[in-house]
Amino acid sequence: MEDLKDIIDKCSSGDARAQEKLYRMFASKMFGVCLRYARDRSEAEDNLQDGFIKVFSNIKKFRFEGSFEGWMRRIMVNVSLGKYRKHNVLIPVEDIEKYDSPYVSDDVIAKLGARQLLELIQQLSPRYRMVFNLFVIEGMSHQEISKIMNISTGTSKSNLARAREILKRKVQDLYRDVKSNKITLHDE
Amino acid sequence: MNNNKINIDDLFRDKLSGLTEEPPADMWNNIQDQLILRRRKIRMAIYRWTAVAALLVLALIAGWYFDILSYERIPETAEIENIKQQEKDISSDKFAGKDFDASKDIKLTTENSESLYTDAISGKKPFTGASGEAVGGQRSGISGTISSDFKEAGARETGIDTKRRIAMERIKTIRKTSLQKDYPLELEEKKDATGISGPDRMQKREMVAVNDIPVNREIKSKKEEWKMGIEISPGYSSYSSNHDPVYASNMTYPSSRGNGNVCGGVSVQYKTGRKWSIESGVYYARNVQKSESTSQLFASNYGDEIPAPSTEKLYFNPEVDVQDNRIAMKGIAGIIEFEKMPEGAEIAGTFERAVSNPNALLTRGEFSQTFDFIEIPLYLRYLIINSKLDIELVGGVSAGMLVGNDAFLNNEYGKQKIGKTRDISTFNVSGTLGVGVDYPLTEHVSLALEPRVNYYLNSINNNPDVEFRPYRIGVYTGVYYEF
Repeated sequence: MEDLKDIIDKCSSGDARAQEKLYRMFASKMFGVCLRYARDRSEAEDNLQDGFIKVFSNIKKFRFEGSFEGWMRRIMVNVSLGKYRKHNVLIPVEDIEKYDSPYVSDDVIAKLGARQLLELIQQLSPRYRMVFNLFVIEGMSHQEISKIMNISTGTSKSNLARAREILKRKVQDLYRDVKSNKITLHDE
Repeated sequence: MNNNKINIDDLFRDKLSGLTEEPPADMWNNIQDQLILRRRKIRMAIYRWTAVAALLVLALIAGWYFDILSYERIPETAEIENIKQQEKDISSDKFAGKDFDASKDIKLTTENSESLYTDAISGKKPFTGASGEAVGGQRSGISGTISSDFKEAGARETGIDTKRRIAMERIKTIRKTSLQKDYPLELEEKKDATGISGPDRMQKREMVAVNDIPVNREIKSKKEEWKMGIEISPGYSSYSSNHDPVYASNMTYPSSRGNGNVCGGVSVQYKTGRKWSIESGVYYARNVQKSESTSQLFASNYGDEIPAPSTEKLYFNPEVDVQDNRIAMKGIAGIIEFEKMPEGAEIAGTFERAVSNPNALLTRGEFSQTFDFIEIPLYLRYLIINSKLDIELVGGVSAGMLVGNDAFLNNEYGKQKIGKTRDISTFNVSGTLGVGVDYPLTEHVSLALEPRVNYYLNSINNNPDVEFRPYRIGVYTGVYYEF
């Protein structure tokens, strides 16, 4: 099998076959990233497309100093954030100082499937979704989030608290529905 | 921690951090198409900039070439005339057989050339008719002197060719020195000092004047090489556009009214030759594109359950995309992104179309998309007529940097800034052609009137669905200072 470095090198020189190979290798993982940051599948597809164009346009800048997948993933996150910044000029900012616990009772909830949880994340308002993803999945600090999203750390914290609050409520609702057999868990 | 509780962060992290999902099958084709389009755009940009660079290089070469040409032309003519004159003197039978003081002649150097000239003018030395009269001014004086020296020395010198050579060398040296100091005023003073009597002096002055015309011109053109100006231009702006059919089917109507504006700036010109000069500077220019409200063209059929819109309002034709607290509408120059909902406007369903966003903006008023540019030109000017009114042709390219991008709605609530146009390029290139009339007010100050046409060579909108090239017609009026 062709080495990833060779494929990247070929992509740098504009080799279409290598580009397709690279796309096939990472498309599904990157689509997963985009889905988490988008409000729906259609927006995630747009972000994935823009992200890959950005990857191929900037692949010469990749210095093989870290994980290529991490570099690519960062591009997808940046594209999603860029779209969020471009399209959300009218979102009111609310600084909720309440910072609650991330715990929910009943460990049966852990059995909820990824698809259901993804839908819950996508239902969040864009700002909450971004902060929750950056903090929980990407592991960024509130300071990093405040810089990347151009908000204060207090706003980042309150957004995270609000996102957790909404998610907890939605998870519990979903769990109730699951228990009462209104919906089934596809991912289990 | 309560054992019955789980961390919601962990729950989502565990389930979603490794989430994979197969994208649609046609995704790769779309990406590939976009990459091809991007490559084509880059290639076009390279061609465009190469063309601009080639144009600039050509302009510089042309300026340099004409500059060299104008310097060379006049001295060459003068030299040929003088040599001919001298040869005529030498070869004439007037000095043959006459006295020639060779030793005195050889001692003459550039330092005493002025006294030589004075002697010739004043008639202290014999000045033979035809040759002396044929050549005017300083040069005629020199040749006259030499020919008179030759006349005196002729018989003593056996080698005519040697004398001719010596004489020619002296002429060249003297002319070189005298040309460096060649100002008519000084010549006049020297002539007066020699005390030439009335008619002779007048004749000499006339000759000097005639002979020095090209030299004077050269001095004048060399003296005033730079020109600075401040200009203002009332103008008319419009555009040429081409839209993707889908985009065009759903965009604002262009306004029937013209778009007047005012531009201005400062310019610096450098004269590279007698007729050519190069100009640069900094200009501010504004291009405006207006769209009107359309009548209720598509909204006349109302059912019983659908109330007709108020007659006080007018329909806007394009659909308005209202999603995620943002509003966007397709304008002629590109998609207008609203920053806020304008006063005196409301969004309503159009009912006429089965599209994803069947909304229209109801308002009485006029949209305008304005683009402000700072332009840095590189123009080449060619002087067609050089008289009391100088007439010049001007042409070149300008780098136009976008410094303002605003969209306005002008309705009963006044002119409101509502947002901006999406995908507008920050760096653009335009071409300019014009004719300038220059009227001198004083020795250094002149008034200029210059109709110009400025056309953007690239589409200022990067959206592949929109090709929008603004142009401007303006009459630049300004004051120039030459130094």
